[in-house]
Amino acid sequence: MLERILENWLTNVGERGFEGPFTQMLSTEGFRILHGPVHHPYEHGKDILALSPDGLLTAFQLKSGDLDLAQFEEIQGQLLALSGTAVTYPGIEPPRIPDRAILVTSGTLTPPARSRLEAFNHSNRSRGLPALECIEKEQLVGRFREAHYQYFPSQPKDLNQFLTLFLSNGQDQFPIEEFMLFLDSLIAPAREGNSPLQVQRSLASAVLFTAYVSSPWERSANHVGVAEAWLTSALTIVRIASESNLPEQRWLTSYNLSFESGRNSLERLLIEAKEASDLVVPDLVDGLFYPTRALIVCGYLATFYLSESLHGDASKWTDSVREVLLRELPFIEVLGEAGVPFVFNLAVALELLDQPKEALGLVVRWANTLIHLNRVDSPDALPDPYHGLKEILSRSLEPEGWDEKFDGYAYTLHIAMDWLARRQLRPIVESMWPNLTRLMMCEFICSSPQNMLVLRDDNGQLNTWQPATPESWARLHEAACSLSETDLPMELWRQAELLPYLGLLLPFRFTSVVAKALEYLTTRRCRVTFDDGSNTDDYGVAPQC
Amino acid sequence: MFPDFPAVKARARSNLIRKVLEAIPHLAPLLGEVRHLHQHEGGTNRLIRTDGSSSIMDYTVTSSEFTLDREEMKKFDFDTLKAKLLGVAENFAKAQEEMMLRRVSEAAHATGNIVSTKGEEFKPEHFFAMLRKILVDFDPETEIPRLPTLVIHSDQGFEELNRQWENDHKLKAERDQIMKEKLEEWRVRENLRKLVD
Repeated sequence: MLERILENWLTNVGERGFEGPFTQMLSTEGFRILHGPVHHPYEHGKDILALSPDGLLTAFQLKSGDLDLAQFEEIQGQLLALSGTAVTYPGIEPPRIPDRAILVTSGTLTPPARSRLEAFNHSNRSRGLPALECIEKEQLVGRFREAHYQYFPSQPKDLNQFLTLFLSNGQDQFPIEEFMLFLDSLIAPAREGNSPLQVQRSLASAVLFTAYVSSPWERSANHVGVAEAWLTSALTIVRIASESNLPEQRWLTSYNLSFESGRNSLERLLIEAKEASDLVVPDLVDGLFYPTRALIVCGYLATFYLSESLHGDASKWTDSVREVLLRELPFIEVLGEAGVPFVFNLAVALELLDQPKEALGLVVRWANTLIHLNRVDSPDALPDPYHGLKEILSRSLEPEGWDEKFDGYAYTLHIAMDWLARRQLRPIVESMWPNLTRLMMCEFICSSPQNMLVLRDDNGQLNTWQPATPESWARLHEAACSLSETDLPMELWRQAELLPYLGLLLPFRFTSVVAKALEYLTTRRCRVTFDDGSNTDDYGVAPQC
Repeated sequence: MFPDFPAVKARARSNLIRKVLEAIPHLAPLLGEVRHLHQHEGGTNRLIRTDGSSSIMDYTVTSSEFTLDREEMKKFDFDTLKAKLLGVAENFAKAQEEMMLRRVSEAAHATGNIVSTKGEEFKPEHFFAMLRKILVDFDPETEIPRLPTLVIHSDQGFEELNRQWENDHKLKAERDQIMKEKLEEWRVRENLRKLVD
């Protein structure tokens, strides 16, 4: 069955869809990946660059689907660049042409194209260039099967879960929680064996399975769905690495491939959103869903911007992100506290984009909405963050409504107060305090920092409290500006670019600690106390409060 | 196995259970006045008070059962089913109410917030002593007191006592005086809903 699924996947997936798993497979086969997959004018035909297990410098160009003569002629320039231009890469000194050049296609070459390849190679040889090798679908299926067959779901329940995901229509929301459970069942046997090598291989397989599972969303060009699949994979890899104490060399490649694929999807989302005049998906009832779509799309774009700023340089996205956010901001609505992580990231991103007024407006609206709608006995209280936006939309259309009541409580109101306190906005907090103190605040505290990345923590504890009356502003401000390094799993500090996505993927994990860590990383409005008692002030990083 | 309709059945079951849960506050009105919080994960809840003290709340399993025989399952008789389920709801309500009163009693004893009649008959001064010890909120617009629920054993004949007090000007004046003090206390409390320092 795995072969047929692989064939089906390769037939339907585009170039971007299989480049990540292909890179992962090379890594599993012992290649050392130097770069890739990349797509820019300076790639010189080389999507992926790697050192083979026997030390040969190998360049790959990836194409999707069958290649006929006309298509071959179209890419001949790229193929010439692949084999004939020197590789300039740190450590490859002096720059030289690759030892091997390989064209990889998820389809097959037609006989005329194959004949042209032979002629192309004849010419290459005479010029001292490497002959162009070719990997086609059949070989790819065999190599993927060899690398991953032992991780293919064998239990009927897991297989069913996999096929359900694989056969989805790709237009809906990506089922993050179901996919996390599937990845857990995929990796569980390797973890039970206690062998770091087995866990490493199972994480590599997780990348391939993410590619399969996300393919319906890839085919629908549902970029948010594709990004959610890859970011869920990245989050799972970090969690497994943290729980299993895996050294970086055993998981970092798989993590990077997953994270890069997520980034690429959000980059495509940004291009799509910027080129469109709005976010409408035409339908008689689209108006019911537009405000939530605007929240999700803008939330992801804002988070992408924050993550990029942590990953390196976000400046090339500044204008596009700002344009889309300002265009869609008036339409955004938050139906439940699961939407708050999107709002928070939007507010932080808007500040970084020099739109402090809009950022403040958003946070004030979030706080006032919760104070008003979640007041005691309110029939319109916003559901807690354990209820996703899709569920809230769906429930709003059912006559039965909710089994739970949400009035009198809020999970994220104190996070809004922290945001305002960090900015010294005392008059605003002061005006909200009398009504805010009538609500109970809630926050779930996981039993360990690693468990912040799990779906359910049976040993954690729900803290509930009523805000102090009176409250000391100095205490409130101090608490809002400080956090401890040990409050977050160390792997998340190291992979800080993933942190902004945590609340979007698992809204019930968006706690004051996560918000403060994000503020520390992006705006420096928080102080971090390290394990040895020192803090960021000691290193000259004074909080900007 | 015979053909079945598990998904639709699950929905029907869920609707019935919802009706049972909705019935609980009617069967035990005291519970209806208590706010509920659905905890989605973790086994404990820590309540942190404004003075910084806290208590851990463990959850207790409550169960009840009823029997539906095969004959009864052949026809959907809503009234029979409802009657059986209301029996379950009553058991739940009783268990929850008992647990709540036990917890309240434990907390009151732990803090010393109790008035004992020391074996005497329940008298107005006992009631006034109780009233002095509790927090009373008022409507911010009308300043009408939002009096808490009073749970009284039926043997204590409170209704009769209450009627007597209503006609006793001295007692009435004392009660009004206490409520005046309570209003003042409430105003002070409301005034504390602010930031200082």
